[in-house]
Amino acid sequence: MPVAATIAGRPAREWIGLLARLILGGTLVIAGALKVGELGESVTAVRAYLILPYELTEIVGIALPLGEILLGLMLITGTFTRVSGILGALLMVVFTAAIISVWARGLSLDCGCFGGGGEISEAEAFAAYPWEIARDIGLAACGIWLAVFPRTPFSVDSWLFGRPAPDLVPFDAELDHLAQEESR
Amino acid sequence: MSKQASNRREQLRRQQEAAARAARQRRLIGVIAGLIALVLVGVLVFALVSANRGPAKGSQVIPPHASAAQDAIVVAAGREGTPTVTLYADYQCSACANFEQGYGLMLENTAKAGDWTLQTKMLTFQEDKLRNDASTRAAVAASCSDFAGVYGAYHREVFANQESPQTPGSVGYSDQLLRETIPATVGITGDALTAFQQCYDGRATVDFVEKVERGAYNDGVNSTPTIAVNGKKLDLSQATNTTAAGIRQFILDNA
Repeated sequence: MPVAATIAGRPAREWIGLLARLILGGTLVIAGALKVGELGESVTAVRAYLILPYELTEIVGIALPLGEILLGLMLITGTFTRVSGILGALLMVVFTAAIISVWARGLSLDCGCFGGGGEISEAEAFAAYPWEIARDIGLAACGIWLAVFPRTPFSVDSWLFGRPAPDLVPFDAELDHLAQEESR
Repeated sequence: MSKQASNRREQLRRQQEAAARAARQRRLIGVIAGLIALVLVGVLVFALVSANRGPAKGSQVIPPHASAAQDAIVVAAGREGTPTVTLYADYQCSACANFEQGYGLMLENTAKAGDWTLQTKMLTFQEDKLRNDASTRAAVAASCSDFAGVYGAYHREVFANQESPQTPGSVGYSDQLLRETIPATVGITGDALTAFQQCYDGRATVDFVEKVERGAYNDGVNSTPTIAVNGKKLDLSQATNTTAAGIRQFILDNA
């Protein structure tokens, strides 16, 4: 029978999941935090992509950093890991599509992923796009991993849905007591 | 094992399961409540940011030389059948100030000679980078100057007073510069000055400025300065002769 590799008593995939949570969640929190103090700039960065209807750019520019922080915190803490992994992966797919779109249209933008944004030189932009796409695909992979293997150590999920809480110990003690009585 | 003990065991097991379910439910409700609280904080921040974008404004007006779509100001109209040249710029964009210095008069004089219609669309996105509101204030002031019939001169004078270098967090164009100094330079006096200052103080053209911004976005313009001829964006880096006469010819060749 094949035995899955375990580290510290847990399957390796759970530790990989923890790593995926911290990488994707940490990146999202940093990206959101760098933009949340400059929401006007964030709106401008969204407008530079020339994708959304004008009316939506302000909503997205303001909501995106706030959403990134919330989703990032959920991933870091392992709260509803499967759902937040799927949402994180979807967000990265959207970012990747947006970068491919501006690249295809020949626009030279700072992606504005970590604040900033707007037009930069063609050489700079076209050199950065492949790396930005690779980074977002890597982050999307973290989210997909968590969607498939949501069980990870040190997570709110394991506290929420895992083993019985310590306040159930009296029952265990009573059961032991019962067993002792029976054995007499 | 006695039947009594077995029943007791079964009863305890059920109690244990029920208690575990209740505890799990409490934790779940706690976490969901926490997430909802965070979302509400986000919505509150969103509402505050949306509500506080710019100070209060008075009743709104449209500049007399606004384009038919009310998303540009026509500096000078050319003869019938001549092309329409649109300049997209931001009063706080340093490349725009350089462009204005090199080609501003040429653009206006060619229009006054009737060879094209010149219109401007003044954007405000630089102020987000510079963390002030000077692009909007300057665009409001310039569009207010149109009521005094001196928009072209006011527009050039704003660029001539651009700070260099511009640092994030600085005020940018001061109120005094926009409502007193530049009007005096371009000859807005007496009742016209009072009307101009009322227009500026009441931000009477700020809705128009917002409409210009929206129009430029829908035109697909995301950087300044940009020149478009009959709605088609020109790549000025393709011009081999970058003198004012050379750029004039390049624009006409692409009309």
